[in-house]
Amino acid sequence: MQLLEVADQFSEHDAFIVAIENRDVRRTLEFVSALAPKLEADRQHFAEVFFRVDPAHFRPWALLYLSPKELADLRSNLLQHKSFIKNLCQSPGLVKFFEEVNNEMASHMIGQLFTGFLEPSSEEGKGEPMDLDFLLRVLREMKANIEGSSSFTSPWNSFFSKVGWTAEAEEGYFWTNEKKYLLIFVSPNTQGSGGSTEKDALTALRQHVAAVKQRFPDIEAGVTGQKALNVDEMNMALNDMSIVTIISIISLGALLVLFWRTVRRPLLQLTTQMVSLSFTFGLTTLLIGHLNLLSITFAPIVLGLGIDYDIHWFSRYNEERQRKGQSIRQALSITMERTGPAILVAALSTCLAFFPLALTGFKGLSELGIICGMGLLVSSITSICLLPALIVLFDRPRPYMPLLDDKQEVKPLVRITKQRAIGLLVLAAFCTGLSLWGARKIKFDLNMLHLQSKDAESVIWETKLIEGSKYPSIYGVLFAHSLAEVATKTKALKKLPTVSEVQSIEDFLPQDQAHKISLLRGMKPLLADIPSTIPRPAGPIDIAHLEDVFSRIRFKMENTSAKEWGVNKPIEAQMKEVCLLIDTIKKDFHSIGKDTLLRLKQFERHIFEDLNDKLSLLRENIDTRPMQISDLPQPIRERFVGPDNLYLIRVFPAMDIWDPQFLGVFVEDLRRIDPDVTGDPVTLYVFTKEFRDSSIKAAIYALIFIFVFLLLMLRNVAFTLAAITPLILGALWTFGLMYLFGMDLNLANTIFLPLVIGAGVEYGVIVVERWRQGKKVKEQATLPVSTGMGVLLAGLTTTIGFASLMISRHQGIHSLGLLTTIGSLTVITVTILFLPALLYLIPNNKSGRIENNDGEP
Amino acid sequence: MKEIMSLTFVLLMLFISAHESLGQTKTATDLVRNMLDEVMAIQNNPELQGQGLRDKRRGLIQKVILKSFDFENMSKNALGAEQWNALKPEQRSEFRSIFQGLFLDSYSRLVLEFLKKERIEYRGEETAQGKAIVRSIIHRVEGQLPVDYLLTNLKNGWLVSDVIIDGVSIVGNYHNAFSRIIKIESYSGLLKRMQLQQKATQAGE
Repeated sequence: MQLLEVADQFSEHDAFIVAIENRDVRRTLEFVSALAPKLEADRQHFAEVFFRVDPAHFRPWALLYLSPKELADLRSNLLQHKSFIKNLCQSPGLVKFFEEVNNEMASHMIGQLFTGFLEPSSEEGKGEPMDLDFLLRVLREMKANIEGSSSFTSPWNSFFSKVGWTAEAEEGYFWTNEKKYLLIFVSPNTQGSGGSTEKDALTALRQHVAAVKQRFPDIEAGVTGQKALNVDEMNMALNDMSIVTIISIISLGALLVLFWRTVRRPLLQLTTQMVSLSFTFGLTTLLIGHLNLLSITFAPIVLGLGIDYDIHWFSRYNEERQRKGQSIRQALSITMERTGPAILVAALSTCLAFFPLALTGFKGLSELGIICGMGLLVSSITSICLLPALIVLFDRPRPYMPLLDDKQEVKPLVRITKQRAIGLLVLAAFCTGLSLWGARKIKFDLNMLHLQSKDAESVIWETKLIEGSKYPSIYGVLFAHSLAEVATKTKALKKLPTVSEVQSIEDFLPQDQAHKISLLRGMKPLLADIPSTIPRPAGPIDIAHLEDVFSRIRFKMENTSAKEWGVNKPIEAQMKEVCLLIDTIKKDFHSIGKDTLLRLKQFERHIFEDLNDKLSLLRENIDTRPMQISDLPQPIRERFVGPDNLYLIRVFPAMDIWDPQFLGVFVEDLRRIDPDVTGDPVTLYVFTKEFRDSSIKAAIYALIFIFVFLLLMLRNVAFTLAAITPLILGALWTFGLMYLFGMDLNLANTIFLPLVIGAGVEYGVIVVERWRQGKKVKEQATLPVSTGMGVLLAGLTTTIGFASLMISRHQGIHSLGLLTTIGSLTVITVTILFLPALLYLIPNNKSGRIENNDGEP
Repeated sequence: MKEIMSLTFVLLMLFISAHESLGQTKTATDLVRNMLDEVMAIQNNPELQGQGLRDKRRGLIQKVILKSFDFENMSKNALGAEQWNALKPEQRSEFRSIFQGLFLDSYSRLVLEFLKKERIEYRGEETAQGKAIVRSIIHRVEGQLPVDYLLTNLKNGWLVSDVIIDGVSIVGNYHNAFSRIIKIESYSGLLKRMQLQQKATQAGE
């Protein structure tokens, strides 16, 4: 955990990520240039905006980032074009520039035609096409400048090195694989009184992005990152839970109206539940202080469960008032005496199902368990205390419908004979066996993105980044205390087949610096004849002369000339483009005016300033020293080097990290290198296993607590076992149905077990209690209608509470709602159909007493 | 008698002068022009058109080149005076022969591709101490190529000793390439490569 906290400090810098989809590099960079200053100016919301590493910072070591082969190519290019550069430096000018280019082309062509057989490439029978890239870049820039463009992209990068020197304007930005997206990393300012919350920072960030997007309607951009995912998840869940709770209340109300066939009593019940819910919120605020993603679901759960106590209360009260003609006081008194204890027992046993969640050690589960347990206790107390008061004040007398004879009392919901009982139990055994078989095949979906709403902006963009990048978004983290240790660990990690990439501060330093510096020093003599500063081109540009040079270049680009290039024949497409550009520029010359001449002169100045800059960079790098970590920009250092010289190493998996088998192998591989490895994969691996096991343990503890509690209450092992049978069978059948419907377990719905156990325990208790209070008539066991309907109604209200969770856009909460709904329905089914059959086999006198319908011995 | 002999002598001298002047090209430009006209005539001869007759055209062009170029001086300049002087006469002869063959092959290919229906503009000549430069420009619709011919006035008249295409001397190019190979491999290595190339070009004919 401590290491995880240290790792989290490093990732604090990348809490939010603005992802910009790249279709045109220039346009994307313009978007960034418009957005970044706005974010940097908003100090209230953002502590740091990291969108670029300034290439100028790396200038003295820029060439050390080339590979030795690229440096060798650079040297070769310098040697090959030495005369070209020297001549150009001696008399700089646009005309001279193209003359020298033409000279090089002519020399090359003549050389190939007459003495090509003496070149090394001719021995192998092949050669590289002459690259006209440099000429094309210059011509394109020239054409753009003549036509009014004010931007300038250096063509000299491609002249000196084919790779490695990309356009500086594009350097230093954070591109994903193949430049599919450009990223901006933003840290929210949550410190001190001048700061804001993460939620406010995220809102502000999205507002800024939306504002800039109005000027760039062709650009797609969005905000993601771990904190954005968390905030979006919580916001969505909060918003959804408000709606879910309201829908739950309305649905419960409708069901109760249907059941009671009146509006008054449902209103009284809902009033009681609103009060208990309010008390529960108050106690949560007092004792816990916040809600998390799991405990946020407590309201519909507590509503669905808590209303059961009112239902049982009202069922018995109704029986006393309507059936037996008791007065309100008498009915209340008898109900309190007879049903009150049962309600409290049911409430306590349900609490016992929830409180073990507090023992799991997972904060989210603990808080859920405590809040639900508190909520149910409060609900049961308000049912016993508040509801009677409301009844006294607001209940209306109902028509007296006396019981005519004993037979009406035992009107059964389900009539069971011995044969039926055996048949039902065999069926139950068969379903249980099938469910056990199916349960073993259920998969566990580790991917936490699958829990979140598909519509959340952060999820959409996180998914895009994952699909568009060769690196997954989560990685293992190792620490080292020295660069030598970083190197050792990196080397070992790269050998692992489960690892695709390893990142550390070393990646930002050039490799093999000593060797490369010696290669660079070797280039010094090549620059000896070249002046340190190229003078500015003087005088007007001789357009006629320039046209003449263009004509000569164009002559060589004709396709009929192509064969004379020999094995180094340029690519035809390049030759065609050269012809096209020259023709266009010559046309522009014909309509040349003062403005055009000025732009041409400016272009000429750019070309030579740029050459000056490149030669200056060469000289700087030739005399450079090795780059140290302290030379790196601070934003990079602080992402990979912590206090006390702690170095961070990121390890990316080679395969699908969401595959539990691969995840296990990956984590174990990393642990062999460093037992203290941490990071999301490790957390996921350890957490998921522990979470899943904890949920199961919580369910088992709950069963044990409930069993012991019920045993103390019922004082009969057989009846106690019978009371908890619906829980066990209901849970097992739920697993079987999961397999049937192809549902996976995930980090959200794993907790359905303790919820369903907590919800279902009361049904068994009520049925067993009522069963014990009744008697067999003519060898037929019965479950009275009132009890059966009460259990059914209670079960349906609980199911409504769980089902309302399915409205949530959060896929984790939705799946939890679905699974608990299925679980609740299976528990009800077992309670109403199979439990009476089981109870039939238990002799009634085993309880030690036979009671009449009034529950009296 | 004396008068008859003097007259005969004068007439004879006149006859010889006239013969020589009729057989000899008048200027360096004339040589270049004649050479290029002959080549263009071959290239544009309707009876010699088509890819199938390319080799025939090439052979005819090579004959024109053969009689117009000073291969002795060219091979000497291409190899370099120092290296040339170090060779025995038979070695020089051998080198000249191979060089001539390779040059004919390359230059005829150049002519075959570059000269078809182009317009040639002659920009004048400069003459000094038995040497001349004839400047010309080959014009195409969208481009032009300056080609200068360096000539030497020998016993039999002007002969081309170098061609400078767009500022690049062919003989100069040979010299640079030969020097590089001799430095790395020696003269024997160079000769071997030239012989291999000659065989390759002959095999390709």
